[in-house]
Amino acid sequence: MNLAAGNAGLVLGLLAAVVGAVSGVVDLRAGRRPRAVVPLAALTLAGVGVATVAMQVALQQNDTTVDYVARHGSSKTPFPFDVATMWSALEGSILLWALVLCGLLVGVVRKFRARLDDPLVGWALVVMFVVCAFFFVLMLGPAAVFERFDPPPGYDGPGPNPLLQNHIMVAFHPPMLYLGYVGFTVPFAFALAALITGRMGEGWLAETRRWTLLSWAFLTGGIVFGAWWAYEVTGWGGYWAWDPIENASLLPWLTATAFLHSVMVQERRGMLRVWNLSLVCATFSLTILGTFLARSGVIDSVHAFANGSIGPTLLGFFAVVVAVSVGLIAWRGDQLRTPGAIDSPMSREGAFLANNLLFAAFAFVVLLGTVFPLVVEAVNGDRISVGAPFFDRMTMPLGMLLLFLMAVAPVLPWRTAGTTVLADRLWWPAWTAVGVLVLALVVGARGPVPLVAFALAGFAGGSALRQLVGSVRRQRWRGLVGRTNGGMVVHLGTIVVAVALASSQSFTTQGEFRLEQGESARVAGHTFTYVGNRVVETATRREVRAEVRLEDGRTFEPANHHYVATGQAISRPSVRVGPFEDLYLNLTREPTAEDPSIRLRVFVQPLVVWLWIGGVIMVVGTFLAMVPAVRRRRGAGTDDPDASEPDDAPEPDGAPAVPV
Amino acid sequence: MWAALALSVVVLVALGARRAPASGTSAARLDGIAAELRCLQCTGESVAGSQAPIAVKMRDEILRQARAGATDDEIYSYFVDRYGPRVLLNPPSTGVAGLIWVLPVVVVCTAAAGVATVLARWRAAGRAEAGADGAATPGVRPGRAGDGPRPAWRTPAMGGAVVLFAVLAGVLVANSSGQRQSGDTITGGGPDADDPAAECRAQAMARPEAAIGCYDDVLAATPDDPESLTYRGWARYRTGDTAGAAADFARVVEVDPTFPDVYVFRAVQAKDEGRFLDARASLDRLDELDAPAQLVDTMRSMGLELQVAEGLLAPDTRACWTREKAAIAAVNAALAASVQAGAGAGPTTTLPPGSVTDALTELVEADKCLAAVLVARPDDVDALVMRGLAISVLYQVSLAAEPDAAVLGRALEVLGRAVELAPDDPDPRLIRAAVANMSGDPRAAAADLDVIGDRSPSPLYASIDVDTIRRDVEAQLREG
Amino acid sequence: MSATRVRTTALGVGAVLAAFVLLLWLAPDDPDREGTVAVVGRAAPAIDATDTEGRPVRLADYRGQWLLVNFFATWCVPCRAEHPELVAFREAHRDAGDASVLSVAYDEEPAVIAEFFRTNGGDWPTIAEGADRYVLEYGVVKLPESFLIDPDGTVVHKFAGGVRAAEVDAVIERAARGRT
Repeated sequence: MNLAAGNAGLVLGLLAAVVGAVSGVVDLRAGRRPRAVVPLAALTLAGVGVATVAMQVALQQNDTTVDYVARHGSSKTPFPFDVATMWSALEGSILLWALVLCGLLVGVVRKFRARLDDPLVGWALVVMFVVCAFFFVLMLGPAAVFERFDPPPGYDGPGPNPLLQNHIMVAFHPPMLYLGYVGFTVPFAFALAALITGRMGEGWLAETRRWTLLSWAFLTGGIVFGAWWAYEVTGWGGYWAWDPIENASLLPWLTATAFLHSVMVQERRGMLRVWNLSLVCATFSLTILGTFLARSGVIDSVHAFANGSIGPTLLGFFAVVVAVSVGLIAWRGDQLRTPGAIDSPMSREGAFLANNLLFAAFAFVVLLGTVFPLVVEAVNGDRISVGAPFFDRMTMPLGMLLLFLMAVAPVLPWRTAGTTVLADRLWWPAWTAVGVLVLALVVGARGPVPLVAFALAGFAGGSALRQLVGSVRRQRWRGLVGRTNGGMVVHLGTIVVAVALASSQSFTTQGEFRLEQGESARVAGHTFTYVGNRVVETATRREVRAEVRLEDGRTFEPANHHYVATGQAISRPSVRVGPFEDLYLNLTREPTAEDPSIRLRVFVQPLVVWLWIGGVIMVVGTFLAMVPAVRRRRGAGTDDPDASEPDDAPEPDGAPAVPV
Repeated sequence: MWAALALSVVVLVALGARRAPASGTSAARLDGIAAELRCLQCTGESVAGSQAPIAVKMRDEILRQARAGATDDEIYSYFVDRYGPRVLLNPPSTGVAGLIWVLPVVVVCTAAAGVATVLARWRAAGRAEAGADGAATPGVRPGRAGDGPRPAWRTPAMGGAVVLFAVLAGVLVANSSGQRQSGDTITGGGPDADDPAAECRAQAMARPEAAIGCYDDVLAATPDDPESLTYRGWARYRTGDTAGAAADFARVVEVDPTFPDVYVFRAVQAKDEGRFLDARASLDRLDELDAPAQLVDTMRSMGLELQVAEGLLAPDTRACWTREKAAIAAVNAALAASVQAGAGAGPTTTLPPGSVTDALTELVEADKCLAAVLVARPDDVDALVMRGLAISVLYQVSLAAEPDAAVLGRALEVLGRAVELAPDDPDPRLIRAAVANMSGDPRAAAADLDVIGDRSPSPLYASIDVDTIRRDVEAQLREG
Repeated sequence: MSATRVRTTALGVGAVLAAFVLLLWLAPDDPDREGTVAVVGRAAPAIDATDTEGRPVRLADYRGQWLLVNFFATWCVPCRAEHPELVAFREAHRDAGDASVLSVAYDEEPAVIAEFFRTNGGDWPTIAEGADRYVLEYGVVKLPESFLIDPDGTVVHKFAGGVRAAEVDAVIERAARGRT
């Protein structure tokens, strides 16, 4: 029953999407308004909704006639992990993607319901229908979600991967990440629509700015929470390993961040149009490429990817998206000529251009590092690894330069800057930098790289604070909302994250010890004593816990969870979070009958908690930035960036801010 | 004021720049190496961070090798040898894979240059516009005053220069950041500038004469470098210049008495020249110094210790020993063959009769030979021990035929005398323990083993496996 | 930016991406990739240890016959699954005496191993003490992995994952043909 319902829902969704796309193209080319857009969009959502419900029911009932449930579900999986099983493997995660996508489609249709006869909106919806149709095809074909399985009597599935059962974060991290990824389909659709209709002024940007910001917020949140999850669970005291799955989420974030900044130049002076179009198309393409890299198995081996059709299909779609984007941009090249030029590199436009370059370089480095092993293997068969040493080395200078820009760009005026103006505005930020540097030295930080990073962070922080303090003074609480001020809050969050990154990367101490009962070890000024161990049994696993006491009496219980069904053992480290450092304990070897000693790994990591706090600040800042600011009266100096920027007026739905 | 600010920043950073360097078996060095190795059971984690069993084993191995004195490159090579280059997280600095370092630098440089050019053009155009607006002279083309027509080759030349510079910069980055395979240069092979002696080492094996010259150069730059002196001495020795070799070795001992390698070669020279006591002294010094594993292995394969031990024997004892040694080797071979055929192994294993008749005869002859020596020198401990050994092996071999407890009694008597004469010497006690075990007295055997403790017997008796005897004794004690 | 410049850049970017996609698509399939890893083709790393029964085990003793060195653990599910295959392989070659099996236990207690062999059959030696060294020497990454060593002591093939007796025999035959 679940199978039939699920497949029926998917077929319905596919038909609706295909009809929507085809009829939309036909109508728009004939100059008509696309018909039945609203019902068709609703039908796609209905279709995927039915499929989702069918999947959830199957998971709750542990209906093993559904192949996906048989392979990934289990009667022993507790709530809410059984709900989250839906997105714990490939096919189900595509279903989640499609659910969000169709929801967005309906949302776009609703928001623009008064403008459905505008070709810009029409073509955007066509693009979204096409993307929808692709995902439905995936779910009915290469990544079939509802396949039949004949369970032998008494069969019970293995349950989701134990790594995905350890922590409640599994319920939040993937959906948040997907909201981010899928959200970028909207600006992409509008960008293509703008290219197709030839209306490449700022209209499409204005329409989609809030969608983009919201998606960016979710993507940022998803990445930060993913890092937090890794830190809490995977037992290695680290939060970012530059592995392909993580890079897949970082790449679209980088281009999206560049896009969010670069659009300001297009709104203000109509420049950098090609950059903006390219960035938004790149962001969407990278979400597809990211899914391809993460799901096709190609990273394990370039040869594994050709097994099964999911890899080639995703790669093919990626190729089509890139070809269409590049083709459209090339076709419309003549209309993209900018009315203005950058007068001086020492200007806000110049800074944003530099920003684009740096983010593009950053994305290039990450992409290169991720796919390079594949390329080398395909070329001469050598299997090499590209890991943290490469990424850290290559992205560090880019990160430093970005920090510097973060300090300088907000104080640069448009068009051109005089040195006296700059010196004036950067005075306090510079002294903040020195202050932070002195503080770091006093606290004991050593090493040129982290010290320079702290100094730059102080510089950028001072600049952001200067802006915020000034605008709060002028406008009280309203000085915290609006694009500029919200943006400064996001910058502050980023700076906090950067400082936390620098300190935990450079100043983490660790030690590995073999401890008998009662024995102690010393790391970074703390003493850890092994007190004893105990075993706890639950329905799905057997936990072996070791009790370790700190010198001030607090206890830790690092454990190993042994999962009955698969025989897999996951280590569950014990973490004590503090504002200045995190104490992280891991049980490397548990006591046995032969050898009752344990092997304990201790990490002392400074300032890690500020990574998560910084992430939250970034997300909060984004929401602040989405609040519309009061429209300033005309006549005030428009070139004074000290005043908070007038937001594009909160236009009534449907009227573009700038005539195109 | 700004200058002061900038200066203070620079000073502060410089103040804080020094960090404790990582060396030896410090946690910093070990973690640094482990952080560059990939945990192969995991996705993307390093050996330093992972808790997977394979990563734990690899960390143990890194510690072991660091303790034994291996360099970073040697440790990396060990793992690459067994797991392939993908065990390195740092991509290589040469070859096709080295492009990963070069490409980003090239792309960034080219992009920056491109943007700079475009900006310059815009600015020039802007100025030209301003000039055209202001100037009233008709017929003058807008452009910078004094500018001749731009030659056509200028732009591509500049572009080429930028790309060339970028590629060189990229290669520089690759070299400093990428993983060097041992012996790599930019093109992928050649000597290491940091270690000039490495090239001499490479030559030393095949062509010692060339190595001498090479080391002469190194010593000209760094005189009294113990390693170079030692190996030059060794090269000299191999080419026949014994006096020069002795001089070099003596100089090393003077300059750095704790450098282990020199004692090996000194021992070899002493042994060859018949000065066995000197050789023994050098080997003892080597023992004290805790030589690196590689060196010890080399020495073992040369059979140096055995030769010195034999050299120290009195000539008549030595003659008997040669026969006994051959006989024991034959017995051991037969024992190994029977183990493979399915019998167990241990001190009390019996051999199938008929497999060792020649060995039997030789053993009897050796016994007679040693008896003669003992008539001449009744207190010769070596002869006593060897005799005890010969008798016990005889017993073992003849177990299948007709076990004769009296035989073992003779062995015990002989060995008892040896123990009396040299109570602290592990050799007589070892043989006596083996005999005691064979004759069903594990307690006595255990007592002797305790006195031996951790010490190793003389290299003459290296074929006797102390651990096997120990285990067997323990097993017997448990049963009894 | 001028129209032509936009066009050329776009086409350039498109070309690079097309090359990347094509490269991945057309990468040749290598069915025997598993076998071509570091240790294969070289002299087998020496083994000189004591098995769980206290007997000495040396690789040199196996010269003259084929040897399958099997890295396993009793807590590893695929290892338990492949064990009958190893038993079958050993039985098939017992009379001819031309092939043996040697197990190396990964993080295992001797008592557990003994029980495992008692219950599941198999009479070849298992090394538990000092196994860690051999794990690294042979380049073992996951369990189970098996290494086939020819009569001259060279590693001929590495089987990653569970082996099947027929598979091992096929490799032996192929290698034997190559040797003559």
